[in-house]
Amino acid sequence: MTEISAADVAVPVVLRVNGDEYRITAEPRRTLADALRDDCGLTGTHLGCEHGVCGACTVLLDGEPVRSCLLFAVQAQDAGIRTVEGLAAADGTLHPLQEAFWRHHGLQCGFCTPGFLMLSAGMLESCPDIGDDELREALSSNLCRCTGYQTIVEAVQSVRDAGEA
Amino acid sequence: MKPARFAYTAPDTVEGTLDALDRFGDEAKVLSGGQSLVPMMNFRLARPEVIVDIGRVGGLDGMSAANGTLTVGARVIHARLEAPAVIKPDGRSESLGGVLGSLLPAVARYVGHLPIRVRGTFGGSIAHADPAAEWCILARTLDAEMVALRRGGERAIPAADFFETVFTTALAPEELLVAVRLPILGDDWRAGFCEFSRRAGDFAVVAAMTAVRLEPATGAIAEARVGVGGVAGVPVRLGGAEATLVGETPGAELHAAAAEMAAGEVDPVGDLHGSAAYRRDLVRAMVARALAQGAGASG
Repeated sequence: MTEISAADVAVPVVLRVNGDEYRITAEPRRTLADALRDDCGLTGTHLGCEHGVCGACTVLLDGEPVRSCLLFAVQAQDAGIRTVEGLAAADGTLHPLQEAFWRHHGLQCGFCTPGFLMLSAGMLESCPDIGDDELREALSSNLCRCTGYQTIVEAVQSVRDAGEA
Repeated sequence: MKPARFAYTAPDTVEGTLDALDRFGDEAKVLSGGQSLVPMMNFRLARPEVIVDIGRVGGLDGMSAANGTLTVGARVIHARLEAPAVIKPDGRSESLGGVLGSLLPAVARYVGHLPIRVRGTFGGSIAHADPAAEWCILARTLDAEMVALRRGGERAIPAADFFETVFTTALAPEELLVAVRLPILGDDWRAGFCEFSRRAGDFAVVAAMTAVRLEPATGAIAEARVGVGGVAGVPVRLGGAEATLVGETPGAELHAAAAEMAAGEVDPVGDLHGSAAYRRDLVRAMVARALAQGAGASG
């Protein structure tokens, strides 16, 4: 019989995030987003709607952009997770996407930015030559209430055109 | 906005899953991609006692074609249907051609957004049974068969019997949906799909799928299928529109007549996404566009 984790007992979970290993204990209902923020202390991942619509909590799971509010931490065991904290180099040099968002004013309040950065990183890494229509369609996954999106599109296009991601 | 407590198990085999479902019955809920279930849990619209996570179960993510049937494993993610490929008996992967091979990507692009399509699964969407979900409309329109396993038994459930009402299927609590069988439409078929939603990636307000088989000698329609979602608790087939098409030759006038018939035979309920009259108008437009798309004309 496969093991059952009781509802009110926190179970050990190992999360591999940005190359580091985090050994946490979490109830099965703990979402990956909450585990990243509260158990791993990685608060760069933001939580907006908590039902998969806004995309602020987007992280990369084995290279694919996913909503971390729609995933339980126990499901992410054994997977490779990347968050916004993993984008910049150890010496603080910004990732080309971060640089481009800055240069093109792809943010104002910044709440949605971690999600857009991870969505864009996943998209460009799996599809470096993505066409403009597909790029816009993919960016429509996430919500931004400040920029009107055009500057975000331009930022991501500039990284694609430079072949930097 | 946080889910209620639940016990959790992640079997790594189908047998282990069936054992868990048998043991916990209707206290258990199967978690596949979680892109519909987890939002409902976060809202506490769903409060399952036990989550049976099938994310680690092997053998449920295959796609194979044989004897005119495409079998899609329940855990195939939506994104894979954007470029459907089947594994041949010799182990090679080959992209699925033909009418179904073109129809699946055309439908898949309407399913949620990129991050939803890389996690959410075909079988999860079918088992969730949202009446406006693209795959449920496809299954109903093409008369798909849902393959359900339980301890010591297997059955195939026709789409007409599978969808019972909103979020409710014929699956018993101890049954697991393992695959869906779709007809590989031959070259004499013409299929189309059209959807209207207020924002890209939303569930459809109304969506329509049409598939007609043409008589090779005359070009007349020998068989017709018209399915719509967003107008009832389940995706529905429109027999009047289908009868209007059969025996006739495809063309703008016939398509308009079938669309008119379709609009007359639905009985939608209005809600905040659209009044009943608005949905009826959408049925007319979506059916006409799907037929035109199938016939190769622009909508």
